[in-house]
Amino acid sequence: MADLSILLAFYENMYKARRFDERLWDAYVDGKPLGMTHLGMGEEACGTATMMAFRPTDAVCPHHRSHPHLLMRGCDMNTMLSETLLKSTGTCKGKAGEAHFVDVSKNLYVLGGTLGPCYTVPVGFAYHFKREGKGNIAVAYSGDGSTCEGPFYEGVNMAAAFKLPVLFIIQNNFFAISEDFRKMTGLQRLSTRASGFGIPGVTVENGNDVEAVYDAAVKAVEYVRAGNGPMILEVMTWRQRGHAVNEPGTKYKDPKEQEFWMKRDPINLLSTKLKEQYGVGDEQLKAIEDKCEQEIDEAWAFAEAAPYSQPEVAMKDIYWSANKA
Amino acid sequence: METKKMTYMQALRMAMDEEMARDDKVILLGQDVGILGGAYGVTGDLYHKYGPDRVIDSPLAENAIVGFGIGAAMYGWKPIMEIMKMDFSMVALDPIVNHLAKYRYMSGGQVGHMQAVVRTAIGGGTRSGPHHSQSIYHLFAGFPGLKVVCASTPEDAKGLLKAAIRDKDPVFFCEESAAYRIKGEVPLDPDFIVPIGKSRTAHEGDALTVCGFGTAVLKATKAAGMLADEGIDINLIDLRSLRPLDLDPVVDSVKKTGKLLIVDEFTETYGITGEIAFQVTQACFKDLKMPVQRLTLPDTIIPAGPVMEDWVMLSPDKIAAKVKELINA
Repeated sequence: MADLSILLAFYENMYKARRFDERLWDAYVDGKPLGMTHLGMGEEACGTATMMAFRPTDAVCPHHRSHPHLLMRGCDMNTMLSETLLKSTGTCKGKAGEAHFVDVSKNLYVLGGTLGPCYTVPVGFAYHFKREGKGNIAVAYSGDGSTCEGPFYEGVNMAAAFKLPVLFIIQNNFFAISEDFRKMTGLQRLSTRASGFGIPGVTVENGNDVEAVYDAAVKAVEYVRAGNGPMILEVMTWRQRGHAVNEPGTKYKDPKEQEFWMKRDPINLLSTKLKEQYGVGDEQLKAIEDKCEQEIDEAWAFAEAAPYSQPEVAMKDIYWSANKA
Repeated sequence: METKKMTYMQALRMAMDEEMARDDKVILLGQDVGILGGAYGVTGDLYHKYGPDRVIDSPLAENAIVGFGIGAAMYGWKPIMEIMKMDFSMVALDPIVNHLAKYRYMSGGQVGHMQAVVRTAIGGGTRSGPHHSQSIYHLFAGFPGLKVVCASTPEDAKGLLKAAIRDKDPVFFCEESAAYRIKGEVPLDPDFIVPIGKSRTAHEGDALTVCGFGTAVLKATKAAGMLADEGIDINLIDLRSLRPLDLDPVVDSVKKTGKLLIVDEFTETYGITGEIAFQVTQACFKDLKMPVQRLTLPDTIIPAGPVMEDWVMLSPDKIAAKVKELINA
């Protein structure tokens, strides 16, 4: 069982990520100018718990639905929100938007909108770590949908063949936009793919239980760091809303499943546990929540006041050699 | 400068050998590059010289090969990725154009440089058919963030590949498979470099300006020799690099000759010939005595059968005939 300070850190991060996303949703409804954004309400446990299990020197590659991951990794909220709002103060100067968020200072690389490279680029990182010999690992996050793409097979196979330290984390929220993975594959769980690569695959059945995810992540990291080669960790969770802000997610979900998972909301699960098993009082949680609200208020004030990058920036960073090819 | 006569393929290997000896961070990966020494034999004995950690036999997975190279490059390695034929690069298009070319830009410059080379064999004339013959280099030249070069001679094969390996930006390096066995004098100096983005004059003259890349230039060089025997000297320019594209010598020449023929072993429409024609026309509209002309493959697919393929591909005879036609026009 994780100690209380870790659980409180999880609570803070999950609450912060939830409110971060809700504020983006509100901003969209209010017609504020946003970049592309993918909200993860209900999925906060996966990014929050797993990120606690890594070293700062590991290379982590969250996928596009990754606000909890970024916040837990310690990315600055001002620059993170600025990138979502496409401002010059964004980590990528507003060039990437959050679906391609990069923070080199945190060894954090979102590998972009086409998804396939989520599985292959980390294999190159892992080559570096193996040659470096310090026990660092590469972490390749994905959703369930992109496991249907070819690069999943190419990347996992290559990591397995070369016995490279890559932890593949499938954050399975059941849906690729509208498509249920159970209809798009012949499977009920995706970690079973691992046996086809000759590597271990583990599923956390209640991926909204942050403690269960953390325990599984710690074990998986131990295995990969020890030089055993890659493994797949699948975290079952549920996207409470739609794919993006423009789509509520109501057309294709079974209402019973929606209800089942809404009862397993990761933040409610943890607050209940904290109160019932650890004697944490409402005031203590309220203090954490107030702190998060304040941080988000400040980030919005910062990002909204910031200017957009100007046209000359659009012509920079194309070539290192600044060759106007 | 001391030189040695060697094949285009040996010159490529020498370039990689010298750069791997010079810099421990240079690694080589791709299908068959190791124990076999390359599907065409380009990498030769490098596996035995530098070992399996640096000369990496990869699964048959072009997409992952490029992804691996991108990841390694982002952590300071200098990968040379081999994709056997350019036709196969189509299955790795996403990592090449969306990541290799864009990642530095998308990171707002945080990723300092993406020092990586993708090597691939191009070109027809080898009876290999529709999936092993295309020179589709212009596709990659259409993506800012990439550099795209094409070597036509053994000397350039060595000098340009060394420049590509040392370049801090990603370079797509096109090798003419029909030229692998041609021989030429190659400088032995380990610091011999052919800078990327500088055209080369392959034949001096003022009867007509001709420009192109790779085997089209090799064939035009033969045509230039045949024409010279008849007293016609063309100004032939090997452009060497599609991006950056150095058209200054072409423009200077066209200002004197008033006529430009672009030779290219891609099909007639939608290739790089249109881009060159546009740029040259912009730069010397008033000097042109006729619209810019091109000699390319017809708009078809490169077939394997010998009679068909020979009819489709360029040849010195075809180029010489076209030059005469234009001179007399």
